[in-house]
Amino acid sequence: MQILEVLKQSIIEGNEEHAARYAGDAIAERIDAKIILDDALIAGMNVVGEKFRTHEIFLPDVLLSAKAMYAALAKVRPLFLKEKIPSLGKVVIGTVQGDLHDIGKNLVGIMLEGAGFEVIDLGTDVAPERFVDEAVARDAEVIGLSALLTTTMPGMGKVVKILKERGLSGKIKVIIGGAPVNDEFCREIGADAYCFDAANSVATVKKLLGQSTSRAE
Amino acid sequence: MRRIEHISTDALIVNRDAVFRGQGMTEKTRITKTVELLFEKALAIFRDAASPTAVIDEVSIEQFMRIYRGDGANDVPSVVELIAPRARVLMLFALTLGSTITDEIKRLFNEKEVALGYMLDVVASEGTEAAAEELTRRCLEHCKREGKLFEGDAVLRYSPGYCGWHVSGQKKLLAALNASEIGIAHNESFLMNPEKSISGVMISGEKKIHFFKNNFAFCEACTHKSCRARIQSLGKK
Repeated sequence: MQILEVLKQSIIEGNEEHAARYAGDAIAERIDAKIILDDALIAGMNVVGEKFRTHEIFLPDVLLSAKAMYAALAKVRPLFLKEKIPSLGKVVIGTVQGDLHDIGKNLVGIMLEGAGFEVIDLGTDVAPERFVDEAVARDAEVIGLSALLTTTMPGMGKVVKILKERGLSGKIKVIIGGAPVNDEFCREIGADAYCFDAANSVATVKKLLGQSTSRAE
Repeated sequence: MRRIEHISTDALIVNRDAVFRGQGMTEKTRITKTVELLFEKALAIFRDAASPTAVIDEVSIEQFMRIYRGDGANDVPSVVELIAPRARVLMLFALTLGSTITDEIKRLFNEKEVALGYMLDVVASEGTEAAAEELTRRCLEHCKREGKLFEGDAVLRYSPGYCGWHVSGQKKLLAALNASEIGIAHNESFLMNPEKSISGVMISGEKKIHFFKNNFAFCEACTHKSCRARIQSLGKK
């Protein structure tokens, strides 16, 4: 299993070329896709996430690691369907209606994917109803809402309201993030959690879903 | 008089430290060679893809206040309404880097080139600031040449969305400048498109008019506090 360790290390170092090569080698060694995913890719990204949280490394390093992970994932992904590997959960993310900022939302998506979640990114300027419709249609457990403007943050409350009206409160959790929002606003609109930054998104989602956060933190 | 200004990206100094600070790094952080190369690559793309263009127009205090009041959503009192009446020159402005650079950032993210995409986003934001600085410098020089400003006078920019000027003020400001001529529009949330755009008023006059205490009601919720550094950059009163 030495190959998994070098693969994990290439993810941590953000070496895209090595990550793709070692993922191919791991497949050639007939290692289960689930083991490659858990013990190398997710394990590597977890180390990266932890270093990021403790300010040992910074966003560019995390994103280089994410790029390496994507390169490895591209090799391993075809095996997922064959081996029917479930994700940690499905998260619908998007920037609320009227808002076109997507960098923060993209970072959250990258962190969640790196931790093993399936991310359905609806993009920017997303209507409240669409968040709920897509979450229901895709059987998602969490909706992640991003806003960067004080004029668009009320859109987050609308999503929570629609979930309540459809009897989905509690079944589909809502996390919010973005420059103008905070814990107080989160409580005010009845969302389930406020995420201060992308680095904390994995732990926040895991906590909401009652999963162990030790691997991702 | 209203005019359009084109700014070459070659003339802009994108603040490297600010780019790294924008990604959580401090002066003490050891920047790896890979990250340094990423910055250089993003900077090259910025120089190639950005085409800073601005529209400016000098207005009287009466004209300005009509625009500034917008739809009546500003905080009262606010910084701008206290400073503007004491200005020698009020110059409305809107500046954009154009849509090519925004499209490039989106393309990089879509193609999972996330590290470069994010670096380019931060470089472009700093580049927008650098372009606005260059515009301010040109404005100051122009006003001095025309005898409207004097040695020791200073210019600072104020924008909707900051210091009590409600973001909805964007509507009347962009309309007054006819900013659509340089491709700037706003949506129903008053967000400018292209995203890497900046607008507001350049207020010129004696340095001392820009000095204010940050104890307005809206200062409490402000996460930037950048007004302090801006005032500091002027030196002593």
